[in-house]
Amino acid sequence: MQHKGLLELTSVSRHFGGLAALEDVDMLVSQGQIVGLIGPNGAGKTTTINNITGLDHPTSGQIYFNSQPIHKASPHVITNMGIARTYQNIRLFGDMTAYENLLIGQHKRGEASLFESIFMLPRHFSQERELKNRATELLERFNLADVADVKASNLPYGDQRRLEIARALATNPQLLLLDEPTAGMNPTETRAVGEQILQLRDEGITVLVIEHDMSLIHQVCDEVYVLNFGRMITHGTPDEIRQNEMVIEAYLGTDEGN
Amino acid sequence: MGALYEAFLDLTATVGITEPVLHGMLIAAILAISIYLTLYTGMFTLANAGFMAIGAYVSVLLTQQLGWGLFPAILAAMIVAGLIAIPIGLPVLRLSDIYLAIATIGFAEIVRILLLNFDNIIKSIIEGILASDNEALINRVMTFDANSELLEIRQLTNSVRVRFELIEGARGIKNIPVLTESWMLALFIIILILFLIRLHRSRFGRAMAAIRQDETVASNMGINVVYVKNVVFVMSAMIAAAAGGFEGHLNRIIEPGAFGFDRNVDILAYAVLGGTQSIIGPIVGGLVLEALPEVLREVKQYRGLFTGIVLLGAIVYLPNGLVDPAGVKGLFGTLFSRGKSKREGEVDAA
Amino acid sequence: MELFLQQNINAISLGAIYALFALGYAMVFSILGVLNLAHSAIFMWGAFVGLLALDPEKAPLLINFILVGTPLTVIGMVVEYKFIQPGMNYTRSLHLAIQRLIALIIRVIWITILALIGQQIFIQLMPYFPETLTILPVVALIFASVAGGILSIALEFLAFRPLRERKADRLAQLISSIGAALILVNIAQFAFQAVYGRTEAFYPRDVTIFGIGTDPITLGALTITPIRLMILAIAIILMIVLQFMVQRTQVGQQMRAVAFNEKIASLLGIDVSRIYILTFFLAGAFAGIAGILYGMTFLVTTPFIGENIALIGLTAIVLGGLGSIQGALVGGFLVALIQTYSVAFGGSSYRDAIVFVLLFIMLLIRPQGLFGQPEQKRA
Repeated sequence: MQHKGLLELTSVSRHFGGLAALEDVDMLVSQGQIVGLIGPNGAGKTTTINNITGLDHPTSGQIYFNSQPIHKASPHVITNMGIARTYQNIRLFGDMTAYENLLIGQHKRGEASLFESIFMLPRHFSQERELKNRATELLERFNLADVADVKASNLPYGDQRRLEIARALATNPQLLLLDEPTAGMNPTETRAVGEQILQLRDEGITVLVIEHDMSLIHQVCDEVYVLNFGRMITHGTPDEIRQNEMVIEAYLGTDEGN
Repeated sequence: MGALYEAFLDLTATVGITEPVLHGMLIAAILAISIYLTLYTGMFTLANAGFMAIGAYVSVLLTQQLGWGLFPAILAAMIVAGLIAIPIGLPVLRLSDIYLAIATIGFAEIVRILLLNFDNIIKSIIEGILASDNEALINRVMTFDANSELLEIRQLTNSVRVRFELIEGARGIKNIPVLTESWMLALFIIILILFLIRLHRSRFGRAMAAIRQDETVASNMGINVVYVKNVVFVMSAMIAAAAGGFEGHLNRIIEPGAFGFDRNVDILAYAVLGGTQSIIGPIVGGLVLEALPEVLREVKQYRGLFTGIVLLGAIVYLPNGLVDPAGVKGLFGTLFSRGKSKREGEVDAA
Repeated sequence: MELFLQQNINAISLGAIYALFALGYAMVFSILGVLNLAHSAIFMWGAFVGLLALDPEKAPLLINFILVGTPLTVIGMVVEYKFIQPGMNYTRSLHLAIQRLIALIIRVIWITILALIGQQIFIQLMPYFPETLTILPVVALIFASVAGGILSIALEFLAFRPLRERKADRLAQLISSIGAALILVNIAQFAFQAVYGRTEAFYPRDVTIFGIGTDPITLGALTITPIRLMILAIAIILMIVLQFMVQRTQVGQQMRAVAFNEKIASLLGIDVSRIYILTFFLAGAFAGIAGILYGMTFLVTTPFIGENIALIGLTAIVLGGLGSIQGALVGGFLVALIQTYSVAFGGSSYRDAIVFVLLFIMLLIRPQGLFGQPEQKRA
């Protein structure tokens, strides 16, 4: 059966005992789109991403990526299929340098086998050079070139956020999932991240972004999905969402959005 | 070469390190490397003594009964241990930290108890075969003679005869040919170190370090965590088995008691004392822990107490162990520093 | 049929001892989150202290030691926390490891000095103390449990607290407890040598607790040693008392709060540090009593009985669920039953192996045990 779009969630539910973190969620992300996922805290946004990336599995429902079912797959398989993510609380490899983080991100691109590495066969060296070049490229692109040898945990916050995105890119994804990439940033920095997301789309990467900052949503998203208490209450363009009563009600009483 | 070695031994003997002690130190270094691999990947497994036992018994079986040379016997023992490690690792490595520790301790103890009873086990198997109707099998096991001193299984169709001289009570094996020599151990260690250096600079080595840092994120980077962990576990088992094989051919006897929980604690102590930040750490830990009780003769009778104090003291006061590359780099600038290896992406496990 | 019943009775009284021991394990794990592998060494010391207290010749030694040792320990702890801290910067320019080695050496030196002072004091005081104080087994029980509790607190201060303060992970604390266990066992070996001249000692056969002794009562084909029933009764009473304490008293409530979430508990004003000490004391006391009861059941004590029971206790709490107190209880009885049956039917050489295999299987199928909660992965 052919499935539409790049990523499709069908009736996905995730129950923890009696608690429903996700209930009957449908979502469709097409190639080349930038899709936003919003909702109050605890709505289930990160749970959704965890289920897409294989860290968690739905209790029921299906998830398809490029028409392949991924709702039961292991995380590394899903990454190898072309999905990458960043984390809400930054999870860099803290004791490794920025450069090293980017090397690890490219793990799936490496083709030299362990045997070749151990016996120092040529393919190991050519491979390493390629990886190094790509890492350097990414460092430059994200303005991290001068902190390449700094331990990730010692980097300033903004650099860490950018490094997270750079590392996710290093895995060569088709679909990039960003979990609150602008948390703690000021409007200028937020705008810059928005520009980068748009540029990613120009390079052919589809993006799904979880955000609380509505200005970013407006800046980059073609379509927005709204979660509340584990249910997808509506979706549409940013303008439609802004005027949607259910959405406003969901956010009432909290200081989210604008 | 031999004269150089003799001279070296004379020198070390002055501080109390005689040849047997040197052997012990080198074997400790090999064991330390085996636990280094798993710790570098963030796995706290204490199964090494169990695999060491397997290595010892299998290699002794081959040299003593089938007349194999030492190197092929050890190689075979390593392969057997590796094969056993696979079905053990697959279910067990899914467990997280302390559950994993408990499971692997349990495994090592099971191995020890099985070995303690291995004559009974073989006896039961043979009785089972004789009682069955399987002609072919019965012909292969024509007679057997098991008392507590001798366990002999004879096969009349060809001249293979398996004959274990057991130690009564301790269920060990005696009259093992003494085959191991220091140069073999040293050579093996050098090979291992070279292997480890290449490992650190490979994609696989980086994956190991990533898993140690953050297993979940590592899997999101496309690293097949289960595969890497199992491979590392198997490697560690094989190295421990080699250590067991070498040790088994040093003292003419082996007994299951030498491979119990205490052994595991010793091996752990090598890694804790030496530190697991670099390859040298556990090796230094192993050498030091084996040498010190000999060098400080007063400590020798308090061997167990000494190990306990070292373990407790090191984990509380020297969390990074004696060999701390960050500190060492500041003072010297070593082979393992970042500058040289930038051309190949070596990565710190920290 | 009689054999079945007989085995059951043996198993249950053994199970009570195992359960007491496992309770301590489970308590520490649920409230502190660490597995204390030195718990079994405390058990062994409980048996040893209990034996000393029961022996008319050695008992006065023990009392003297406690009367002198306790104030010295307290002084030592005060000195420790006022003047010596782990990780203190002795010289800024030295390599960090050397700094820490120095801290360690200083600690060892003052502990040795304290021990020497203590030894001198009680040699001086010894002639003045009456010899008749102990002998009563009940007193011995109290001694054993208090000794266990104190040892356990010492462990907390030496092996766990420093690691907790630098936010070490629980594996480091596990390793630390392994080191501590090794130290305790080795010291016991020397103590046994010093007191008995060999590493084996026997409990008196005619111990009576409240007049109930070791003369077997025969009911039909069953032989019951009343003392075993007494032991069972003591164990059950203790467990009930513990249960009451945990569920009904305020302190128990605080313990449960800390077990649930240490941060929230401290925000609620609970003195978490004090709860930790109390937990260790209780766990150690239980281990100590389990030790002396074990000694009374099996009559022989060596420095190594801890090793046997360590894996048993581990299996018991894994079976029952690592964080669960009820689980530890159930686990203890289960293991005793399985052990007894496997000896009765299979022969004793595989008895321990069967317990380990059980442990192994449990970890693979259901690591959280019968009553525990599975651990969740979070992103």
